[in-house]
Amino acid sequence: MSLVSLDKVHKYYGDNHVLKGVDLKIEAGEVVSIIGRSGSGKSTLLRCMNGLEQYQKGGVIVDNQSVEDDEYKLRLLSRSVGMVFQSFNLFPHMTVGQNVMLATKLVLKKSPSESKKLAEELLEKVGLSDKFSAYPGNLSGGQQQRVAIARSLAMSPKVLLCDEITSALDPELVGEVLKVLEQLKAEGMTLILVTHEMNFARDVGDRVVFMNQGKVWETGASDEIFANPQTEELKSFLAAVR
Amino acid sequence: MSYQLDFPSLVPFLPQFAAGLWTTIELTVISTLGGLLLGTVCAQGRISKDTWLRTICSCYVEVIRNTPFIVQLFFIFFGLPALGFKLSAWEAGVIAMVINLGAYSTEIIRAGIDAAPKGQWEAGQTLGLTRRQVFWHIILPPAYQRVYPAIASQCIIVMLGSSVVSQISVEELTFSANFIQSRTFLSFESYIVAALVYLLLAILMRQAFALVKRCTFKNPSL
Amino acid sequence: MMQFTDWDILRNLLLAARWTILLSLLAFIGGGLFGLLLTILRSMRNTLITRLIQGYVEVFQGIPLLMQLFLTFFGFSLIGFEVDAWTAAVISLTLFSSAFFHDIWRGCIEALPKGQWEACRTLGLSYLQTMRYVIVPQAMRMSIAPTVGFSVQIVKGTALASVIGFVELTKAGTMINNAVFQPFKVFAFVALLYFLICFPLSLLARYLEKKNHVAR
Repeated sequence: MSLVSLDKVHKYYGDNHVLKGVDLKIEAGEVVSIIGRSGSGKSTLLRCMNGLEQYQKGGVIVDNQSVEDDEYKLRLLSRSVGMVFQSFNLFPHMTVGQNVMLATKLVLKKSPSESKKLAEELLEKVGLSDKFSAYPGNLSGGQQQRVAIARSLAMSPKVLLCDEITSALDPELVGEVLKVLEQLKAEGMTLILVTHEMNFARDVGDRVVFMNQGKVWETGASDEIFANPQTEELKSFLAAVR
Repeated sequence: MSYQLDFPSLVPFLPQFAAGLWTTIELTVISTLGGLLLGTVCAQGRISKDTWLRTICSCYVEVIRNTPFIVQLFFIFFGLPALGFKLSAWEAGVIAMVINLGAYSTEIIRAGIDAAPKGQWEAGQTLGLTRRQVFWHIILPPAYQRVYPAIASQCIIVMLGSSVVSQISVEELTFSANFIQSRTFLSFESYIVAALVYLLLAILMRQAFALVKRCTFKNPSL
Repeated sequence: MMQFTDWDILRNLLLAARWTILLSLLAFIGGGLFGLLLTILRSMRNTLITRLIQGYVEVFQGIPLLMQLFLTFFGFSLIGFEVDAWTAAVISLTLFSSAFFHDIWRGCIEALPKGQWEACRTLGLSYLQTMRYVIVPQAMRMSIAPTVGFSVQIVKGTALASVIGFVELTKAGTMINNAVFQPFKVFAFVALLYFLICFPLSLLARYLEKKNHVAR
């Protein structure tokens, strides 16, 4: 059974048909990049995988759990699925350490000392062990995003969803965040990224999914897709972003 | 025609002023705490998914915000006993003040909650927190920080409004001034003293709120 | 003893409500004009004038309105003018609202982005020209909603005039209650009438504010 499996998913915003029957299977340990023009439904697709968006037809199964519009089930699901956002969404009134420890204390019910140890480990992993007591507002964008990654990892998810996590960053800060992702890949984490970083998609990603007009238009191994795009739409998209 | 202001004659009545001041402070502190608590709970009610709860909370807010405090006070003190709720003047005063601040702070706090980016709710949700946990741990603290100046002003307004409870004979500062002027016939002087004390209290409260702010909100402003 | 029907109670309250409305209108107009004068004076950016006006606002926002009413009522007789409750109420509500109006309008002027001033300076506009053509028109649009909002505070403020004996809605309520001993009903009616005056104003203020937000 695939870790993530989408079966003919349809999603409407009112009359707007955003996802038009998406089929997609992602195995544990894969690094999958979802690319496409803005409005192609790629972020929506990602958000359907953890219940932030509801879909109207089809089915989504993640880690053997059906993703449905049910608060309790979604809470259980959130232990398997982590998410990192474009705008970081760190909690501004908590220190970096408190941000990372919040869910381990409230959701996993770990003891404060256990939570603290875990938070320190994770912050060290993302290279921010000296920022434990800093407030997010005092960090650079790249640092904030690394804290956000550490915060998601604290729940030890099986898959990490990354929604354009480098888009809000100054160009010189993108690298430090991508480095963390590479490290996670090396550890075998399943990553699903909606991204504009074509170099990262090609060099680090295993597989690329090209979304167009609410459908999976073309998909394949990263080097294949970039070296040898099959459809006209993908060709013109790649030409435009290069 | 010419009139000499006579403040020295008020000196023997200082204990009365002090007692009144103490009651004013007492009323203010209790109703500030109670009102903010009530406001926080009702603000949560106003964003609830339950239509009934939302409606009840907005009705409460609108009724209180669109009627004078003195009428609310009279209704509670004179009107409720007719239904069998017997209240002392002090109790009626506190209840009226709590209910009054509760309504205003509901609106203020709700504005702070509305200003929370949607991503904060989503981040909490993806971390597996319940809606209630997201509200209390993630949404509410920055909401307070955002609207803190408005809350501070409203609490000062409630302190000033406490002068009205003299009208049901709660023996606070204005009541003391009334009492003293009736004894001395130095009405202007008595009221000037009381007014200055109120002014001083308002200034002190503003300082106190600023101090609390510095000690509480250590993160860079939102 | 005379029998009061519900209609009698309501009718008498409605008659008294006219005075509440009139007092509110006078305070709104008087306070508005005086507040405008303060705002104009302050925009002259004279340090002394600014300090004085700041003090004025501080005093009127830091003393209970009830106290202001007492001081006006008794203060005038002190300097030899016997004023009735009506005059005292109009004067003190006017002063009270002028302080708040001034504060609201000053806030609107200061809320405009600094870039507006800078843009005008680079265009070579004088201070007065900047005020006249750029700042005031924008500030005025912004100030409409909070100004209407404050009118609700004025209406509610007039209720305190009852304490110095002016017979408006609240005073009429207490008088009627003394005759009929039905406090629950009488004060519920009183509250209802205030609500009927204030709620539309609140709604209007909210509507204007929303419209303003969309426009910007």
